[in-house]
Amino acid sequence: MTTKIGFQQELPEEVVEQAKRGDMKAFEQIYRTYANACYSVALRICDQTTMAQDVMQESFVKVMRRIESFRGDGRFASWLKQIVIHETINRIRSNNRIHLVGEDELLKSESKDLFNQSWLDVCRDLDSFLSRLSTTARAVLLLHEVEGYSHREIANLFGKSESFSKITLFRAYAALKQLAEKQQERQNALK
Amino acid sequence: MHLSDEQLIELDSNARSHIADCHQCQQKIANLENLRQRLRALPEVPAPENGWLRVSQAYQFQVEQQQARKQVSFWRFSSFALVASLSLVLFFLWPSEKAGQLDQSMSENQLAHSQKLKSLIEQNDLLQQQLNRQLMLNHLDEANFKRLQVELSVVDKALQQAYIQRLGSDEKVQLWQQRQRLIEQLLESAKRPEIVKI
Ligand SMILES: [Zn+2]
Repeated sequence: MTTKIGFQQELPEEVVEQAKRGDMKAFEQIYRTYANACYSVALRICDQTTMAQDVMQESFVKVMRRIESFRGDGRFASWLKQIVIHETINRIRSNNRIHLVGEDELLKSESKDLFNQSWLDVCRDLDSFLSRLSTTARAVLLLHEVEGYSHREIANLFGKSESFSKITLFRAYAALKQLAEKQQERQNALK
Repeated sequence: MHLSDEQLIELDSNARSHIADCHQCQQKIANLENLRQRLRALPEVPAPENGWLRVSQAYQFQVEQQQARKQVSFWRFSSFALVASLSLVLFFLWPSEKAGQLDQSMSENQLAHSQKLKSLIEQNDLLQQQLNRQLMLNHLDEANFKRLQVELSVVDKALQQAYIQRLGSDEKVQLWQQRQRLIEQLLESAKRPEIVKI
Protein backbone atom coordinates (compact mmCIF):
# COMPACT_ATOMS: atom_id res chain seq x y z
CA MET A 1 0.00 0.00 0.00
CA THR A 2 1.41 3.40 -0.93
CA THR A 3 1.10 6.37 1.42
CA LYS A 4 -0.75 9.25 -0.18
CA ILE A 5 1.05 12.54 -0.19
CA GLY A 6 0.28 16.13 -1.07
CA PHE A 7 -3.18 16.90 -2.38
CA GLN A 8 -3.90 13.18 -2.73
CA GLN A 9 -4.34 12.95 1.01
CA GLU A 10 -7.95 12.73 2.15
CA LEU A 11 -9.28 14.45 5.23
CA PRO A 12 -12.02 12.84 7.30
CA GLU A 13 -15.33 14.52 6.47
CA GLU A 14 -15.85 15.40 10.14
CA VAL A 15 -12.76 17.61 10.10
CA VAL A 16 -14.19 19.75 7.29
CA GLU A 17 -17.56 19.86 9.08
CA GLN A 18 -15.88 20.95 12.32
CA ALA A 19 -13.95 23.60 10.43
CA LYS A 20 -17.23 24.86 8.95
CA ARG A 21 -18.39 25.41 12.51
CA GLY A 22 -15.29 27.54 13.14
CA ASP A 23 -13.26 24.97 15.07
CA MET A 24 -9.66 26.23 15.02
CA LYS A 25 -8.26 22.77 15.85
CA ALA A 26 -9.91 21.43 12.70
CA PHE A 27 -8.44 24.30 10.66
CA GLU A 28 -5.04 23.51 12.08
CA GLN A 29 -5.42 19.87 11.03
CA ILE A 30 -6.34 20.99 7.50
CA TYR A 31 -3.32 23.27 7.45
CA ARG A 32 -0.91 20.61 8.70
CA THR A 33 -2.23 18.07 6.20
CA TYR A 34 -1.88 20.25 3.10
CA ALA A 35 0.67 22.91 4.03
CA ASN A 36 3.57 21.29 2.19
CA ALA A 37 1.48 20.56 -0.90
CA CYS A 38 0.21 24.15 -1.04
CA TYR A 39 3.62 25.63 -0.43
CA SER A 40 5.20 23.43 -3.10
CA VAL A 41 2.67 24.45 -5.76
CA ALA A 42 3.01 28.14 -4.94
CA LEU A 43 6.79 28.09 -4.69
CA ARG A 44 7.31 26.10 -7.91
CA ILE A 45 5.14 28.52 -9.85
CA CYS A 46 6.39 31.83 -8.47
CA ASP A 47 9.94 30.72 -7.52
CA GLN A 48 10.10 33.17 -4.60
CA THR A 49 9.96 32.01 -1.00
CA THR A 50 8.48 35.24 0.36
CA MET A 51 5.74 35.31 -2.24
CA ALA A 52 5.01 31.63 -1.71
CA GLN A 53 4.65 32.22 2.04
CA ASP A 54 2.28 35.14 1.42
CA VAL A 55 0.26 33.01 -0.99
CA MET A 56 0.04 30.26 1.65
CA GLN A 57 -1.13 32.66 4.31
CA GLU A 58 -3.70 34.39 2.13
CA SER A 59 -4.98 31.12 0.66
CA PHE A 60 -5.55 29.47 4.03
CA VAL A 61 -7.21 32.58 5.43
CA LYS A 62 -9.52 32.52 2.38
CA VAL A 63 -10.25 28.86 2.98
CA MET A 64 -11.09 29.57 6.61
CA ARG A 65 -13.39 32.41 5.71
CA ARG A 66 -15.05 30.69 2.78
CA ILE A 67 -15.24 27.12 4.03
CA GLU A 68 -19.01 27.40 4.44
CA SER A 69 -19.27 27.79 0.68
CA PHE A 70 -17.50 24.45 0.17
CA ARG A 71 -20.45 22.19 -0.52
CA GLY A 72 -18.55 18.94 -0.48
CA ASP A 73 -19.58 17.93 -4.00
CA GLY A 74 -15.90 17.75 -4.97
CA ARG A 75 -12.75 16.87 -3.11
CA PHE A 76 -11.74 19.33 -0.45
CA ALA A 77 -8.09 19.07 -1.53
CA SER A 78 -8.98 20.05 -5.12
CA TRP A 79 -10.92 23.06 -3.87
CA LEU A 80 -7.98 24.09 -1.71
CA LYS A 81 -5.48 23.62 -4.54
CA GLN A 82 -7.63 25.76 -6.82
CA ILE A 83 -7.58 28.58 -4.28
CA VAL A 84 -3.79 28.35 -3.92
CA ILE A 85 -3.26 28.39 -7.68
CA HIS A 86 -5.60 31.34 -8.17
CA GLU A 87 -3.86 33.25 -5.41
CA THR A 88 -0.43 32.51 -6.90
CA ILE A 89 -1.39 33.61 -10.41
CA ASN A 90 -3.07 36.74 -9.04
CA ARG A 91 0.12 37.62 -7.18
CA ILE A 92 2.38 37.18 -10.18
CA ARG A 93 -0.11 39.07 -12.34
CA SER A 94 -0.24 42.01 -9.94
CA ASN A 95 3.56 41.99 -9.69
CA ASN A 96 3.71 42.32 -13.48
CA ARG A 97 5.66 39.12 -13.69
CA ILE A 98 3.67 37.93 -16.67
CA HIS A 99 5.67 37.72 -19.84
CA LEU A 100 3.26 38.93 -22.46
CA VAL A 101 2.83 37.08 -25.69
CA GLY A 102 1.16 39.03 -28.47
CA GLU A 103 -2.40 37.88 -28.98
CA ASP A 104 -1.76 37.61 -32.70
CA GLU A 105 1.40 35.64 -32.16
CA LEU A 106 -0.11 32.29 -33.01
CA LEU A 107 1.89 29.14 -32.91
CA LYS A 108 3.09 29.08 -36.48
CA SER A 109 5.94 26.76 -35.74
CA GLU A 110 5.56 23.40 -37.31
CA SER A 111 8.50 22.16 -35.28
CA LYS A 112 8.71 18.42 -35.06
CA ASP A 113 11.86 17.79 -33.13
CA LEU A 114 11.05 18.90 -29.60
CA PHE A 115 10.37 15.39 -28.40
CA ASN A 116 12.78 13.40 -30.55
CA GLN A 117 14.67 12.36 -27.49
CA SER A 118 14.08 12.10 -23.79
CA TRP A 119 16.49 15.01 -23.35
CA LEU A 120 15.64 15.69 -19.71
CA ASP A 121 17.47 12.52 -18.66
CA VAL A 122 20.63 14.60 -18.52
CA CYS A 123 19.12 16.89 -15.89
CA ARG A 124 19.78 15.98 -12.25
CA ASP A 125 18.16 19.06 -10.69
CA LEU A 126 14.93 19.84 -12.48
CA ASP A 127 14.07 22.68 -10.08
CA SER A 128 17.17 24.58 -11.18
CA PHE A 129 16.03 24.25 -14.79
CA LEU A 130 12.54 25.43 -13.93
CA SER A 131 13.80 28.48 -12.08
CA ARG A 132 15.60 29.58 -15.24
CA LEU A 133 12.32 29.77 -17.17
CA SER A 134 10.25 32.95 -17.20
CA THR A 135 7.57 33.00 -14.48
CA THR A 136 4.88 32.72 -17.13
CA ALA A 137 6.51 29.80 -18.91
CA ARG A 138 7.03 27.97 -15.63
CA ALA A 139 3.45 28.64 -14.49
CA VAL A 140 1.87 27.47 -17.74
CA LEU A 141 4.11 24.39 -17.93
CA LEU A 142 3.30 23.31 -14.37
CA LEU A 143 -0.39 24.11 -14.63
CA HIS A 144 -0.87 22.25 -17.92
CA GLU A 145 1.50 19.34 -17.50
CA VAL A 146 1.39 18.70 -13.76
CA GLU A 147 -1.88 20.13 -12.46
CA GLY A 148 -3.94 19.10 -15.48
CA TYR A 149 -5.30 22.52 -16.43
CA SER A 150 -6.53 22.89 -20.00
CA HIS A 151 -5.36 25.75 -22.22
CA ARG A 152 -8.78 27.32 -21.83
CA GLU A 153 -8.56 27.23 -18.03
CA ILE A 154 -5.06 28.70 -18.11
CA ALA A 155 -6.23 31.41 -20.50
CA ASN A 156 -9.00 32.32 -18.04
CA LEU A 157 -6.61 32.40 -15.10
CA PHE A 158 -4.27 34.78 -16.87
CA GLY A 159 -6.96 36.77 -18.60
CA LYS A 160 -5.40 35.83 -21.94
CA SER A 161 -6.27 33.83 -25.03
CA GLU A 162 -5.83 30.10 -25.47
CA SER A 163 -3.09 30.74 -28.01
CA PHE A 164 -1.19 32.57 -25.27
CA SER A 165 -1.28 29.36 -23.22
CA LYS A 166 -0.34 27.13 -26.16
CA ILE A 167 2.60 29.20 -27.32
CA THR A 168 3.85 29.73 -23.77
CA LEU A 169 3.79 26.00 -23.09
CA PHE A 170 5.59 25.28 -26.33
CA ARG A 171 8.23 27.86 -25.46
CA ALA A 172 8.64 26.42 -21.99
CA TYR A 173 9.46 23.00 -23.44
CA ALA A 174 11.75 24.57 -26.03
CA ALA A 175 13.60 26.49 -23.29
CA LEU A 176 13.94 23.35 -21.15
CA LYS A 177 15.32 21.45 -24.11
CA GLN A 178 17.85 24.19 -24.76
CA LEU A 179 18.98 24.10 -21.12
CA ALA A 180 19.29 20.30 -21.28
CA GLU A 181 21.31 20.45 -24.49
CA LYS A 182 23.69 23.03 -23.00
CA GLN A 183 24.17 20.87 -19.95
CA GLN A 184 24.81 17.87 -22.18
CA GLU A 185 27.45 19.85 -24.07
CA ARG A 186 29.15 20.84 -20.81
CA GLN A 187 29.15 17.25 -19.63
CA ASN A 188 30.57 16.05 -22.93
CA ALA A 189 33.33 18.68 -22.75
CA LEU A 190 34.33 17.46 -19.29
CA LYS A 191 34.69 13.88 -20.44
CA MET B 1 2.72 13.51 -42.35
CA HIS B 2 3.89 13.17 -38.73
CA LEU B 3 2.40 15.14 -35.87
CA SER B 4 3.78 18.58 -34.96
CA ASP B 5 5.07 19.22 -31.43
CA GLU B 6 1.96 21.23 -30.66
CA GLN B 7 -0.26 18.34 -31.73
CA LEU B 8 1.77 15.98 -29.57
CA ILE B 9 1.31 18.15 -26.48
CA GLU B 10 -2.46 18.16 -26.80
CA LEU B 11 -3.72 15.15 -28.72
CA ASP B 12 -7.02 15.38 -30.53
CA SER B 13 -8.87 12.42 -32.04
CA ASN B 14 -7.09 12.73 -35.41
CA ALA B 15 -3.72 12.79 -33.72
CA ARG B 16 -4.66 9.73 -31.67
CA SER B 17 -5.57 7.74 -34.71
CA HIS B 18 -2.28 8.76 -36.37
CA ILE B 19 -0.30 7.63 -33.35
CA ALA B 20 -1.99 4.24 -33.33
CA ASP B 21 -0.27 3.44 -36.64
CA CYS B 22 2.95 5.50 -36.42
CA HIS B 23 5.92 4.11 -34.55
CA GLN B 24 7.91 7.35 -34.83
CA CYS B 25 5.18 9.48 -33.24
CA GLN B 26 4.61 6.82 -30.58
CA GLN B 27 8.26 7.21 -29.63
CA LYS B 28 7.89 11.00 -29.38
CA ILE B 29 4.82 10.61 -27.18
CA ALA B 30 6.80 8.25 -24.95
CA ASN B 31 9.55 10.88 -24.66
CA LEU B 32 7.00 13.56 -23.82
CA GLU B 33 5.43 11.31 -21.19
CA ASN B 34 8.90 10.84 -19.69
CA LEU B 35 9.26 14.60 -19.36
CA ARG B 36 5.83 14.81 -17.77
CA GLN B 37 6.70 12.07 -15.32
CA ARG B 38 9.80 13.97 -14.27
CA LEU B 39 7.77 17.12 -13.70
CA ARG B 40 5.08 15.27 -11.74
CA ALA B 41 7.65 13.51 -9.60
CA LEU B 42 9.15 16.73 -8.25
CA PRO B 43 9.42 16.34 -4.47
CA GLU B 44 7.33 18.32 -2.00
CA VAL B 45 8.97 21.35 -0.46
CA PRO B 46 8.39 21.63 3.29
CA ALA B 47 6.35 24.69 4.28
CA PRO B 48 7.99 27.13 6.73
CA GLU B 49 7.78 26.11 10.38
CA ASN B 50 5.74 29.01 11.74
CA GLY B 51 3.17 28.88 8.94
CA TRP B 52 0.15 27.97 11.06
CA LEU B 53 0.91 30.75 13.51
CA ARG B 54 1.01 33.28 10.66
CA VAL B 55 -2.21 31.95 9.15
CA SER B 56 -4.16 31.84 12.41
CA GLN B 57 -3.04 35.34 13.37
CA ALA B 58 -3.89 36.75 9.94
CA TYR B 59 -7.30 35.07 10.14
CA GLN B 60 -7.98 36.43 13.64
CA PHE B 61 -6.96 39.90 12.51
CA GLN B 62 -9.26 39.83 9.46
CA VAL B 63 -12.21 38.54 11.50
CA GLU B 64 -11.75 41.27 14.12
CA GLN B 65 -11.49 43.93 11.42
CA GLN B 66 -14.66 42.66 9.79
CA GLN B 67 -16.53 42.70 13.10
CA ALA B 68 -15.35 46.23 13.79
CA ARG B 69 -16.51 47.35 10.33
CA LYS B 70 -19.93 45.74 10.88
CA GLN B 71 -20.34 47.46 14.25
CA VAL B 72 -19.37 50.81 12.82
CA SER B 73 -21.67 50.53 9.82
CA PHE B 74 -24.57 49.45 12.05
CA TRP B 75 -23.89 52.34 14.42
CA ARG B 76 -23.67 54.86 11.60
CA PHE B 77 -26.79 53.52 9.91
CA SER B 78 -28.86 53.62 13.08
CA SER B 79 -27.52 57.07 13.95
CA PHE B 80 -28.49 58.50 10.58
CA ALA B 81 -31.89 56.88 10.82
CA LEU B 82 -32.49 58.37 14.26
CA VAL B 83 -31.36 61.87 13.39
CA ALA B 84 -33.42 61.79 10.23
CA SER B 85 -36.52 60.65 12.08
CA LEU B 86 -36.09 63.31 14.76
CA SER B 87 -35.92 66.00 12.11
CA LEU B 88 -39.06 64.69 10.50
CA VAL B 89 -41.00 64.51 13.73
CA LEU B 90 -39.94 67.91 14.95
CA PHE B 91 -40.44 69.84 11.77
CA PHE B 92 -43.60 68.29 10.45
CA LEU B 93 -45.49 67.69 13.66
CA TRP B 94 -45.62 71.35 14.62
CA PRO B 95 -45.59 73.28 11.38
CA SER B 96 -47.11 76.42 12.84
CA GLU B 97 -44.00 77.37 14.84
CA LYS B 98 -41.66 76.45 12.01
CA ALA B 99 -43.61 78.47 9.49
CA GLY B 100 -44.00 81.28 12.01
CA GLN B 101 -47.72 81.60 11.35
CA LEU B 102 -48.50 83.75 14.32
CA ASP B 103 -52.00 84.33 15.49
CA GLN B 104 -53.16 87.96 15.26
CA SER B 105 -55.14 87.59 18.47
CA MET B 106 -52.00 86.81 20.51
CA SER B 107 -50.98 89.12 23.33
CA GLU B 108 -47.63 90.85 23.07
CA ASN B 109 -46.19 88.43 25.61
CA GLN B 110 -47.54 85.44 23.70
CA LEU B 111 -46.19 86.88 20.46
CA ALA B 112 -42.73 87.25 21.94
CA HIS B 113 -42.83 83.65 23.17
CA SER B 114 -43.96 82.39 19.79
CA GLN B 115 -41.15 84.23 18.03
CA LYS B 116 -38.71 82.87 20.56
CA LEU B 117 -40.03 79.35 19.86
CA LYS B 118 -39.75 79.90 16.12
CA SER B 119 -36.13 80.97 16.43
CA LEU B 120 -35.33 78.06 18.79
CA ILE B 121 -36.76 75.53 16.35
CA GLU B 122 -34.72 77.07 13.56
CA GLN B 123 -31.61 76.88 15.75
CA ASN B 124 -32.34 73.22 16.46
CA ASP B 125 -32.82 72.61 12.75
CA LEU B 126 -29.42 74.14 11.96
CA LEU B 127 -27.71 72.19 14.72
CA GLN B 128 -29.34 69.02 13.47
CA GLN B 129 -27.82 69.66 10.04
CA GLN B 130 -24.40 70.21 11.61
CA LEU B 131 -24.81 66.97 13.53
CA ASN B 132 -25.56 65.14 10.28
CA ARG B 133 -22.44 66.58 8.68
CA GLN B 134 -20.26 65.56 11.63
CA LEU B 135 -21.75 62.07 11.48
CA MET B 136 -20.91 61.79 7.80
CA LEU B 137 -17.36 62.95 8.45
CA ASN B 138 -16.96 60.39 11.27
CA HIS B 139 -16.07 63.17 13.66
CA LEU B 140 -18.37 62.04 16.45
CA ASP B 141 -17.38 59.82 19.31
CA GLU B 142 -19.64 56.77 19.37
CA ALA B 143 -20.18 56.75 23.16
CA ASN B 144 -20.97 60.47 23.24
CA PHE B 145 -23.37 60.18 20.35
CA LYS B 146 -25.20 57.29 21.98
CA ARG B 147 -25.53 59.32 25.16
CA LEU B 148 -26.99 62.18 23.14
CA GLN B 149 -29.47 59.84 21.54
CA VAL B 150 -30.76 58.79 24.96
CA GLU B 151 -30.88 62.34 26.31
CA LEU B 152 -32.60 63.67 23.20
CA SER B 153 -35.21 60.94 23.30
CA VAL B 154 -36.15 62.08 26.85
CA VAL B 155 -36.41 65.73 25.80
CA ASP B 156 -38.30 64.88 22.63
CA LYS B 157 -40.87 62.86 24.56
CA ALA B 158 -41.36 65.75 26.94
CA LEU B 159 -41.71 68.13 23.98
CA GLN B 160 -44.25 65.86 22.37
CA GLN B 161 -46.25 65.82 25.60
CA ALA B 162 -45.98 69.61 25.91
CA TYR B 163 -47.54 70.05 22.47
CA ILE B 164 -50.18 67.36 22.94
CA GLN B 165 -51.21 68.73 26.30
CA ARG B 166 -51.05 72.27 24.91
CA LEU B 167 -48.75 73.43 27.68
CA GLY B 168 -47.66 77.03 27.85
CA SER B 169 -44.87 78.51 25.75
CA ASP B 170 -42.51 78.73 28.74
CA GLU B 171 -42.30 74.95 29.08
CA LYS B 172 -41.83 74.54 25.35
CA VAL B 173 -39.12 77.20 25.23
CA GLN B 174 -37.26 75.50 28.09
CA LEU B 175 -37.42 72.13 26.42
CA TRP B 176 -36.24 73.47 23.06
CA GLN B 177 -33.37 75.25 24.79
CA GLN B 178 -32.44 72.07 26.62
CA ARG B 179 -32.45 70.23 23.33
CA GLN B 180 -30.27 72.85 21.70
CA ARG B 181 -27.72 72.69 24.54
CA LEU B 182 -27.45 68.91 24.28
CA ILE B 183 -26.65 69.02 20.57
CA GLU B 184 -24.27 71.95 21.04
CA GLN B 185 -22.37 70.05 23.74
CA LEU B 186 -21.87 67.07 21.48
CA LEU B 187 -20.79 69.24 18.55
CA GLU B 188 -18.37 70.99 20.89
CA SER B 189 -16.84 67.66 21.94
CA ALA B 190 -16.44 66.67 18.29
CA LYS B 191 -13.90 69.45 17.82
CA ARG B 192 -11.62 68.06 20.56
CA PRO B 193 -8.54 66.16 19.37
CA GLU B 194 -9.13 63.05 21.51
CA ILE B 195 -12.18 62.12 19.46
CA VAL B 196 -11.97 58.58 18.19
CA LYS B 197 -12.20 58.51 14.43
CA ILE B 198 -13.72 55.44 12.89
ZN1 LIG C 1 3.93 10.03 -37.13
